[in-house]
Amino acid sequence: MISDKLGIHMRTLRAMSAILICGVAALSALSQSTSQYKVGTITGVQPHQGAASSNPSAASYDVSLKVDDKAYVVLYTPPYGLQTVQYATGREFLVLVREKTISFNDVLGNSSELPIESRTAAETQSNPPNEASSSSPATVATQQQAPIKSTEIIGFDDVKGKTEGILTIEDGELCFVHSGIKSHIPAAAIEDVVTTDDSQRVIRGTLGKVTLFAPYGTGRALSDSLTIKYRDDNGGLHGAIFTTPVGTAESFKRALIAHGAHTTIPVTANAGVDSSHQVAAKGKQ
Amino acid sequence: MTKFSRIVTVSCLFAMMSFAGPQLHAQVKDTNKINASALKVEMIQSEEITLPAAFQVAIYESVIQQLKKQADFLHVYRDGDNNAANVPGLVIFHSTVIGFKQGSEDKRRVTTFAGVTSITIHCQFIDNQGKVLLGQDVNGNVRFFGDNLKATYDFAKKAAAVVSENFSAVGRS
Repeated sequence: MISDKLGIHMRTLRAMSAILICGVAALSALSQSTSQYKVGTITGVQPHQGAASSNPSAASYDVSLKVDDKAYVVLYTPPYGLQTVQYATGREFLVLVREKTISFNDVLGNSSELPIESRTAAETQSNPPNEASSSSPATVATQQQAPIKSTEIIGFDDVKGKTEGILTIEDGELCFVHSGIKSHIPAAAIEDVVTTDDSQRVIRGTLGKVTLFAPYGTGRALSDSLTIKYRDDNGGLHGAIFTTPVGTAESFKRALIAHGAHTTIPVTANAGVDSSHQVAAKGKQ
Repeated sequence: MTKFSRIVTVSCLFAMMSFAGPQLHAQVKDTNKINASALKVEMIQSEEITLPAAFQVAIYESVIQQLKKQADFLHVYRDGDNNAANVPGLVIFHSTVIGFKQGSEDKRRVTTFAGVTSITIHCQFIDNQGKVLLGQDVNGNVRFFGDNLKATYDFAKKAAAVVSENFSAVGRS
């Protein structure tokens, strides 16, 4: 009688152990699959040699990508003939490196798989491995900030609110170009640059939903914000707010700081990574 | 005096009073206004309540825009402007956030009753000697439609109206 009960207990215990082991194995497999996603930095974009042909809408690009200590060149054909990839140097994405392909999720969460054309150690690339990933001002200063599409929400005297234009850095000045008119502020006159992520870190301590802290409808457009405070020649304080495509505000902030702008919230080493995570997370929403 | 002339006299008196009354009232009201030559707007402070930088900047810029529209009788200086240093009759507009409720544009769009964004700011007008000339709580909100920026715009309009109602340019009163 006692041995029967003991046998039942033993069987129950074995079943529970088996379930537990299966659960742990599944969890570890899951965490392994997500941890395979790594941050990749675009180090260069060149038109693909064989594709500079007849059909411009099918233009392909050789995109140089640095992931960990490896440099890859992948073939990318943008959908709808878009050419924005030409200005993507310096941007960071979450990528999944496979044997012959690299996968990434775009802003809308669509997964793309790009064939790897070459794979080398990062040291052999034109950009040394530490240069692209470093966030120190000295190294960032050497990087060229690509122009980004932006909307000026408020703050420029000669620009009407909610004006669309291009935000760029030229000759140490923040420039906003719209309808052929260029407004500019010397980067050195900027005494604070704050992104949406910064506000979230200060207020919540963690990253949450981006739209919570924006005074305008960024939720609809999936955009980041860049808030700057700067002084005019008389010392008068001005403020301006721009929205930028999601994931671009942090890199733009780094570039501004590299050109002499100041900030009350220092750029964190993983700020770009956070943005990349947000891109991936938002894409999956 | 005939009945007709009495009616004419009373009508004339009534007409004179109706024309002169508002002017006299306005003059009396103007004498209650605070004289100022210029206004310096300081950056919005948010010591106890942590306000996102974008809101802080949006409020500051909106206030300056609205003051230039509604209180154009005063010269408006920005925070830190060196030209404001020795201006006689300068009034400093100091504002501190005392209430902030972050709403949601999405909720407003869907429900039209939830997701209100509200900002309450204590506005102080201080003279060169540091004396508080006027103190008032002003709130701004966006209740139904529109992005959160409208709350800052709403506040700025009301704050500019406070200035317009309570201040007059030196030499005008």
